[in-house]
Parts: sequence; C-alpha cells; structure tokens
Amino acid sequence: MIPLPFLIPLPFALVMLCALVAPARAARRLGYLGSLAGAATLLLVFLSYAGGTGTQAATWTWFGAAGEQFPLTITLDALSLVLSGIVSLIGVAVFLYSVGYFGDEERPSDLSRYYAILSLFAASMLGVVLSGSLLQLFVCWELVGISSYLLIGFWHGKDEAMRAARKALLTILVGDAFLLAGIMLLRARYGTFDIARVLALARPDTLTLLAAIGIVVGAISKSAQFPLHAWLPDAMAGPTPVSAFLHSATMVKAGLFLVARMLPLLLLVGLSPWLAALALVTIALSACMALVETDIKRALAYSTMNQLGFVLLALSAGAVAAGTYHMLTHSMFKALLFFAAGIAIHATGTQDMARMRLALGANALAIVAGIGALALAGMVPLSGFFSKETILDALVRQGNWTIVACFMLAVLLSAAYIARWYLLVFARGGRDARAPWQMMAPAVGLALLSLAGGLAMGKVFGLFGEAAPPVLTPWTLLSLALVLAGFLCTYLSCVRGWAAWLPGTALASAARARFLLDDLSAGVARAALGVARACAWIDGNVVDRAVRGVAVRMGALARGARRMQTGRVATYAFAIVAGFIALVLLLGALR
Amino acid sequence: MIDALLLVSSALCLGGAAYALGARHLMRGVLGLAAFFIGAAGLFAGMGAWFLAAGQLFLFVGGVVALFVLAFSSAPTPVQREGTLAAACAAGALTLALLAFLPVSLPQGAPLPPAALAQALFGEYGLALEIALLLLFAGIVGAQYLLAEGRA
Amino acid sequence: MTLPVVLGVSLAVFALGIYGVLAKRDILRIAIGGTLMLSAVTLLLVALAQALPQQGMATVQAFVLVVWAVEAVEAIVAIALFLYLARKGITDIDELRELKW
Repeated sequence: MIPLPFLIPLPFALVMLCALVAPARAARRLGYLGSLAGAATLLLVFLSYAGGTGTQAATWTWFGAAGEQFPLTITLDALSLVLSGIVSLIGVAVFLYSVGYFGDEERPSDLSRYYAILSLFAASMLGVVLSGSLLQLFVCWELVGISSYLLIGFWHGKDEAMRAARKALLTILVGDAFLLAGIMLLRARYGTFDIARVLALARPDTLTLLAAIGIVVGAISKSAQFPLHAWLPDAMAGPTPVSAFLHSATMVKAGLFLVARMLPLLLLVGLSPWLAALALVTIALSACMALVETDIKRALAYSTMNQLGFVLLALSAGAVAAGTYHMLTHSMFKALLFFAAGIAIHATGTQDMARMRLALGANALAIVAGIGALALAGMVPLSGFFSKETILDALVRQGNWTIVACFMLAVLLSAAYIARWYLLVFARGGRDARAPWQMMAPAVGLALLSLAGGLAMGKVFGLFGEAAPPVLTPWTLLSLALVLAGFLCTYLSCVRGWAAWLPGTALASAARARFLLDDLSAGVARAALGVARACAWIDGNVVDRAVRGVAVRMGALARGARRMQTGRVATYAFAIVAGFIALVLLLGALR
Repeated sequence: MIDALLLVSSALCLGGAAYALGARHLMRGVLGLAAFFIGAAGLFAGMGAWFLAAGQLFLFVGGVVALFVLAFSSAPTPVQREGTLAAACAAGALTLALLAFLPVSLPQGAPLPPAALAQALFGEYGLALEIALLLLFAGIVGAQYLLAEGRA
Repeated sequence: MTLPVVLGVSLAVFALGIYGVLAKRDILRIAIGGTLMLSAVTLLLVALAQALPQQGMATVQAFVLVVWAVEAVEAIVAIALFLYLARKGITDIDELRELKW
C-alpha cells in the first residue's frame, strides 16, 4: 500500500510520459492536461494535509548498497505543504498560459518536448520539497537544475538562449558541488541522510559548520543570491512561462526552501549573521540594478532576486513561517507579473520597456499588472503587504536595528522600481493589448489570489503552529508610508522629470554595468578553462609522450635484439659454443 | 718418460689437424685430415685400444677421407679465406676452461680383448648400436635424396 | 704418462675443430672441423677410461663405435649438402642468409 503523499508527484510524471508519446496533433492540448495535473496535485496535497497534520515520514526502500538500505522518505510538514501547494497552483496557471503563449510557429515535436520537460520539472520540484532524505533531495535537486537548463535553452537556435542556459547550468553545478560536499560531510559526521535525524543530532562543530556552508552555497546558487546570481537575468532568454514558473515562483524558491528546511542546523552553527549579510547585499545590489534595467523581463528578474533576499533575511532571523508565507505570496504576484510581461511582449513585439507603450486605463492587462505591481510593492490590502509585514515583525522582534533600517530602505526601493516598471510599460494613450483567454485567465486568477492572499496569513501561520503577527502596528504604518514614498519618488522622477541627474551618477553607472559581477564570474570561468587547458596540455605532452616513449624504447630494443639474427651459420655456431663455455664455467663455479 | 709411439702419434694428430684447417688448397687439407686419423690410431693403440685403432684406420682413413676426396673432385672449391678472430678466441677459451677440470694422471689399464668389446657392443648396448645404424641409413637416404638428378 | 699427453692433444684438436667450424667459410672445411671435434672427444674418453675396470673400458669403446657411426653420418650429410649447394654455385656459407631478419 503506497501512502498518499507518495502520489503527489505522480500527476505531473504522467503528463511527462504523455508528452513523450503524444502524437503531433495533440501537442497543443498537452497544456490543458498539465493544468489538470496541477489541479490534481493540489487536491492530493490537501488530502495529504487532511490525512494528518504535523510531520509524517513515510518510508519505502529505494535501494540498498554496501549492506545499507536507503529508503524513500517523504516529510509532510508545514513547509513542504506550502511549497507543494505553490508548485501545483502555479503549475495549473503556467500550463494553461503556455497554450496561449506558443503560437503556430512552434513545431509540435518541440511543444511535446516543452511540456515533457516542464512536467519533469514540476515533478522533481515536488520531489525536492517533499523529500525526507538529503540524498533523495539532491537527486531531485539535480533534476530540477537539468530541467531548468533544458527549458532556458528551449529555443536552441537562439545563441543567447544557449549561452544563458549554459551559464545557468554551470553556476548551479558549482552550487551543487558544494551542496553535495555538505551532504556528504553531514553523512560522515552523523551517519545518516535522513533530514529529521540530522537535525535532531546536530551539534555545533567544525564538520557541521563546513557542511552548513556547503548547503548555503548550494542554496545561494539555486536562488540567485549574491554572489551566484548572475545567471538569473540571462535566464530570461527562455520562454516567458518558463520564467514565470521556474525563475520566479518555484525553482528559485528551492534554495530558500533548503535553507528553511535545514534552518535549525544553520542557526546552530551560527550562520545567521552571514545569511543576513548575504541577503542585505543581494537586496541592495538587485534593487539598484532593477532601477536601471530597461528590459521588461530582466527587470522582473532583479526584482525576484530582491524579494528572495527578503525571504532569506526573514529566514536568517529564524522566522520560517514569515519566510514561507512571503514565498507563497511572492510566487503568486511574480508569476502574475511575468504573465503580464508575456502578454505585453506579444502585443508590442519587443522586450525593451522604453519602446513599449501599452494602454493605461480600464483594460484587463493594465489592471492585472497593476494589481501585481501593488502586491509586490506591499500595498494594502494585497497579499504582498501582509507577507512583508510578517517579515518586518520578525526582524523587529530580532532587535537588530541596522537590519530593520536596511529593510525599510529596501521596501522603499522595491516600491520605486516596480512603479518605474509599471510606468514604463503602461503610458497614457498607448495601444491596447489583446491576448488569448489562455493567457489572460491565469493572470486574472492570480490577480484575484493576490487580492485575497492576506486572508491566508492566519492559515499559513497556523500550519507552523504559530500565531500570525498583528497587522496594525506603528511599524506597519511606517512601511506603508515608505511604499507611498517610493511611488512618489518614481512618479516625480519618471513623470515629472525631477532629479534628472540621477541616472548620471556613479552608482547608476555601476548598476547598469551590473557592478561588474557578471564579468567577475566570466573571469572565474575563463580561469577554470585555463586550468583545464593546462591539464590537457600536460596529458598530451607529458603523459602521452611517456607512453609513446615506452613504445619507442621497446622498438629500439627490438631492433637491437634482432641484430642477433644475422643469418650466418658462423654466428649461430658461435652462440652455441659461447653458451657451452658459459655452462661449463657455471658448473665449475658451482663445484 | 714419454713413449715414442705416443710422441709421433701426437705430433701427427696436431700437425694433421692444423694442416687440415690451415692449408690453402682443400686437397692438401684432406691429406692433413688423413694424417690426423693415422695419429689418432696410434694414440688408441698406445692406450691399449687396438680394435679402435684398427677401426680408425679402416673407417676414417679409408672411408671418410676417400669421401672427401670424391666430393672435392666433383665440385672444386675456391681458395678459402680466413674467418673471424672471435672464433679463435672461443677455441682458446674453451681449451683453458676444460683444462681446469680434468685430472692429469690416472693409472694405465690392461688392453681390452676384442671379444669383450663385441660382447658389450652387441649385448648390453645393442640398442644404441641399432639406433646408430638407423641414423646412418637415414643419412644415406637423405644424401641420396638431396643429390638426386632433376631436383630443383 | 699417457694421460696428460693425450689430454693435451685431445683438447688442442677440439679447439682446432671449434675454430674450423666457426671461422671457416668453406663448407667442407667446416665438416672437417666437426670431424676433428668428434675424434678429439673419442680420444679423451678412451684416455680417461683407462682407470676403469675392464667392463668400463668395454663400455667406453662401444660408445666410441657409436660415436663413429654418428661421425660418419655427419660427414655424409655435410658432403651431400656441399655437393647440392655447389651445383647451385654456392660454395661460401656466408651466402646462405635466409634466416637473416
């Protein structure tokens, strides 16, 4: 009897199989199938939750090696529930959106491939969040990384997309190496891969610290935090549904999920201030870069980095519930914003915001995009407001006023950049954007969820066994004021033209150059390539030479030896005589 | 005190052997070989092996030398040239090596009556004799085959 | 007194025989050298057998007869080969090089 939680990845796995065998005619309909699978998964998630709250670990032997059994473990707790809920919910939306996104120019075989990989991604992401064992988690983690690579490079004719895919993969693989090292260190130290047991046994010593660092590096690479963030903006070269699903709502959350999952361990070894520092640097850099970016999707990518920094900040303060709740609201409004961006790109045929002029006003696109923007900024009564408040509350309770002040500044900046984004895309008197219902409906759905998302706060916190923080406090009002201030700044700067000297400052130039971090990682990659070339040179010239040298010596030896065969009778006779003499002498010596 | 027979026979042996190899003309060399055989016969006689001495004279001087002469007359050989130094050194080394082993004096024994020899040869060592004769037969057949007319 | 003399002669002739086999290029001379070697050995054996009782001497002399048979075969075959090669015009054994690498 297979326990129910194990079936959760099943619907998407089935869609993947269907996509692999589907005939060409049915390729387009796979999107609807995927949506249904998402809905089914969501149902399964709820049923599993109803089947028992708290942590459940169901076990099933996966394989045995070296006399030890490795079971398949599922952990079902608040964290995994919320995240699997996110994956299935956004999955429903994205599959439907994809139907409308891909026009007739796509070949059916390509579409089948797309849906297959997308389903693979969804199933493996569910595997990551549901895993109870680090080994299992790592396998699914890798699958997620590979699907991301395949999806970014979906249009493999596009050079830019291929390069971005490679960059993403390599960055993530660097993180994965650290993660694997961390997992193995934990295994060496505590003798188990099981997450619950590791957390229970954890002690603050050197090996554990090193393992924790490995885990953090792995998480950073997946979640595009500083310094392994350079791949995320480039990953926008993939199709927009991919950007919406992987690179805003789910895959990038995987890293933070890992941090949340292993948080007791990380806090135990004292990494909290480091996580906070990383988060703050990420927030600062990404906000600056978002403020100067002109590409519609890249701006959203920087904003994703930013918001994930918020989550990381919350986690560093130990507020898992707040961080998870923000992950939930962020995935909804970020996916919504990407959907809107996809519609905008289809309507205007360009990704450069400076050239877009879509209609502002009562048309559907402007409204849903506006809702998403307000949610991101954290305006009441949208979901983003509530989740931001929970983070703020956690930070205030932690008591580090520097961090609180930085967070406040970040709130202002995020409001500012998203307002800028909205104003650049939509302008008065612009043209209408028509979109097929398959693209509009998910966007509207997510907009509604963003409006109602605040209601879920109590429920989510309840899952974690905590009480939701109060909503109306002086801090709340202060942050609202900052949001409005951010809007005002943008309005004054973009519409009224004040502070026109701002784009010319050194900071702005640095931001436009992406703080040279891209170049840094490229330099690192080149250095690694140089090392590889050196090794290849050694192999070819030293090792191969040695081997060939042996062969040459053998040849020379053989040539020398065959001079014995002169063909002359006298030589052979001489050999016989000489041998005989030697034998006689030997016998004499022995006597 | 060295026996005169021994002396003459030894001189014949050494001289004959040297001349057999050293003579420029092969015919002369063959004559040297004959001298060697005669000397060897003398040595056998001096040691009391009369039968062997007689056999040596009949078989070798009469047989083998004649064969060589016959061969030589069928196909003349050119004047031969000298061989290598190494060969000479090998020969010298061997001599010295063997000298190291052999005892220098042994008592002399009584001569052997031929009847006893015949008894040994055809009795105890009959098998060896038969095999040797078979070998002779094979040699003759082989020589005949090699030299048959019309062979390539 | 016999023994050292015969020993010396035997050894000298054996050495000469080796020299003949190794150094000469004429086939017949090589055959002569081989014959010298065998004869020298027979001389040596008989000389050493003088110390033995009569039975031993009989054995040695029988052995010498067998050796003579072999020596005769050797002479026959060598001469046959010589005539065979001489028909082809080869008299110097250095011309036989087919075993050369």
